[in-house]
Amino acid sequence: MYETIQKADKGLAVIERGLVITLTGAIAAIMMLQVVMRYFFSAPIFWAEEISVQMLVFATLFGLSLLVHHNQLVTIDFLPNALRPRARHALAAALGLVMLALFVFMSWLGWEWISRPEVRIELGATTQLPRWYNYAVLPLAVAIMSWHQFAAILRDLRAFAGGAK
Amino acid sequence: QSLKLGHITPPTHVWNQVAEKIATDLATASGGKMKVAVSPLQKLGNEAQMINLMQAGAQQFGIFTVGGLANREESFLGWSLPYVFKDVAHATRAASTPAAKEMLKRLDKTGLVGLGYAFAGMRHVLSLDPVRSAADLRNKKIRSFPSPVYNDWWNANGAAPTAMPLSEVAPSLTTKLLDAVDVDLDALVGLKFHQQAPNLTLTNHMAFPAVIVVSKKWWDSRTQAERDMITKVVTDAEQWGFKAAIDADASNLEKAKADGAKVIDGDIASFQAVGGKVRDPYIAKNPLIADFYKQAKDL
Amino acid sequence: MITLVVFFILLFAGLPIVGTILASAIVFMATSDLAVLYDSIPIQFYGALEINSLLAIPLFLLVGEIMNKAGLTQRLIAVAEVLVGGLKGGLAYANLFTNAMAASILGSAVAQIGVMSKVMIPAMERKGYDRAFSGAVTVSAGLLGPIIPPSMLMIIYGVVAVQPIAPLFIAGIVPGILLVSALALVIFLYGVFGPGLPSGTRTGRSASFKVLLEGLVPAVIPVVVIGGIMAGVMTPTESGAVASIIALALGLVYREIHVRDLGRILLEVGTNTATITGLIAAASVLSWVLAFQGVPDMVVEYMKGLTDSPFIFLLLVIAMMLVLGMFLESISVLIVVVPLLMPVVSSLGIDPIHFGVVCTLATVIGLVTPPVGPGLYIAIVQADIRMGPLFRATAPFLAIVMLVMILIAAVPEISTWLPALTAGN
Ligand code: NA
Ligand code: NA
Repeated sequence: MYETIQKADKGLAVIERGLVITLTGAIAAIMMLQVVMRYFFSAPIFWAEEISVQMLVFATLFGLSLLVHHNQLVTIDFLPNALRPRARHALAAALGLVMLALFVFMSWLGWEWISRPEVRIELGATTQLPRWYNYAVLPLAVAIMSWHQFAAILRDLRAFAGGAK
Repeated sequence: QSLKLGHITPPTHVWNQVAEKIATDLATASGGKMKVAVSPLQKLGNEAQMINLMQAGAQQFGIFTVGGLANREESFLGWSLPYVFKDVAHATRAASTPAAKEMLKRLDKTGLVGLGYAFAGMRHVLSLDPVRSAADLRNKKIRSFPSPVYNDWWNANGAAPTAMPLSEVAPSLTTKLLDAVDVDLDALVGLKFHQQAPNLTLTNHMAFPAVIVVSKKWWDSRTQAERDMITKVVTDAEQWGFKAAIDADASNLEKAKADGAKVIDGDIASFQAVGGKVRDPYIAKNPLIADFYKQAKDL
Repeated sequence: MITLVVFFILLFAGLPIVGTILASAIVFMATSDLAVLYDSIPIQFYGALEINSLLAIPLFLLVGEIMNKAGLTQRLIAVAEVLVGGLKGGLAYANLFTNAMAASILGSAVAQIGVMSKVMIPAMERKGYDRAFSGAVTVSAGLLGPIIPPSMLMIIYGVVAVQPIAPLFIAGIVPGILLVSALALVIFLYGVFGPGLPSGTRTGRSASFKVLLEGLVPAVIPVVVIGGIMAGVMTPTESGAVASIIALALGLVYREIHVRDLGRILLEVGTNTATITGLIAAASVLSWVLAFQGVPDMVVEYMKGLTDSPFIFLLLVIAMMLVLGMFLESISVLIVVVPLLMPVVSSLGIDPIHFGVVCTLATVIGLVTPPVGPGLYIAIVQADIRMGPLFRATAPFLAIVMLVMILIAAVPEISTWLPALTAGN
């Protein structure tokens, strides 16, 4: 069970890594292309900024999720560093629970948000496509963050229990 | 805890004056029970965020552009069809057409109750170089409101419409990243874009209405007497706002001229020429837009 | 009040800052009878990221990553050595000079200290400089990163204060020159009154010419970035895109980066972007709920009770940001505090561009003051220095940076003159 959870955790991270690389690369490429089109061909791409901004939102969400997976979110770590390994794992598990609660709550709020009929009817001003297609990435990414956090808590608990032996 | 009224314009704008009037009159009419705090300049969030707040009932009143609402109820695009209205007074008369009232009713599905309209000045062109005819804007970048009609309209004139937050407009004019701005005189006088781009062509191409809305969730929990009271206060403020908008459009032009805006004598017919071509697809697509156009054009 | 307590407990317990900020926003809603706002958290978070100016962040981070991997820094150092290396204490000045050039390419102090301390500190030590002094020069010159354009902090300030980015960038140029002069003065005084500085080595004429020629190519980047913005032909985001194109082309031509490295570079850029933009989104949820409850108005009232002098207000802000910068990660201080203060700034008639420069400087100092100073830690790790000696050696440099900051707070024209000049033509 534990192994399956960790495997799924790593699998999700692999997908997210691909997404972050693709999105960041696409943002950079589009913005570079936009400069070339504007200054050398006087033919700016009218959708460049709009689509890049949406990709930046997605890159932020999946990037945050990767940071959760790698335990690399910016943290003030005096207290954890001052503790013995075993206590540190206990603290990490407790803080992980707080983060997990936060992620589950955010994900649920996001899901409620995109489920509301009055939100579903909103169209993008230039694309005229339903905006909730984009909005849906938020609850999705935060749900994956919850999984990463859950897997991390299990790792900390195992390390805590292992230290007891 | 006071009720909240949010909108996106600065405190000097007619919409804010309408908002303040609603706040004052509602306090009087309710004997001080209904206190409304007005938040201008999108302090509560942008329009999409404020609409979200109103759906939850956290914000009770709003004054939103028809452009923002048209992303949820298509018929509001009818208000932005080019060359339907001669002037602000004409546009305010269109607010009492059955089609305009039907648009307000259709807001119900977005969690809002539409109680009335408010107007800003007519849309014109402010540019770095003088614009004497539509041809002068060919391939020029113009900041325009993010809406399909505005895009179609500027593309039909051969210009390149660009959506951009208002805070970026002045520096973009300075750096010549923008050549022109699709603007009303309220915004022009308030934000002083003519300091960067002095040439004003009075194209008069569109009206710029807003809708006065109430949160449906909050509305449904009011008594019938309260609803009647709110409706009356808003209707009074709406009528007052019509006159204020008509007066402001005239006085703003004087203010802008005195402040250094150069009015360019332009060939308006060259802009009007493509108006019909832009209107027709919208009229064909949406029956309520067609009704509205029919009822409004000859008022 | 409960919110503040929760905030600091979670923060010091070691909860990630982004989580601490979001949790505080939720606690504030729960304790202020604002549960009705929960539903709007997702759209506030999402909407805070839909800002065009934020696109400049991944672009300038990309330039930094490429500079780091492609060895462009070494070329700049070589140029600086030719120009000022012959002086007594030449390598210290060369360090400062290279940092000034790098600052006009890189957007962040942390990135700059990372790039420079790996090469500069060992190089200075080899020439006989004290390691802590070498670290101090590198760390304090790295502070130029966000002052001289381009600047990540100015972009962040522009986004949270709703100000255009280009004039903010331009506003950093004069203060940047002032800081370079002030830091050079400290090095000079160290040579005269301190333990003395090793003498420099002059480069031969033909070698100098070759180095300058090679160094010219990367020097195209700052010319394009600063020149393009000042001449008013480019947005800051576009200048970031141009800088990325040049840096990438140089890296590939010099064969110092390969196409197969791009994945790793982009991953680094993507996650570093998410670190910054994630904080911005979380903080915007917090400042929105505070604004909903009218907290900024209370701040205005309180501040007006304290003082109606813009200068005193700026000193108070600097003091507050320095104190907060000791406990909090400095960029988060900027993101959380600025939206609360903007109403005061406008009511006191302070130019928001001037305020941006002052805030950026205060934030930058927070990056290198212990205990929470990411800039210091990077130098400590990269060059294996101990915290105590490094901070003692950095102190005189920081002292003069603070003096310059107070001068900049007192004289708005230092910041506003150049942007006004370029906007005028
Ligand atoms: Na810089
Ligand atoms: Na600090």
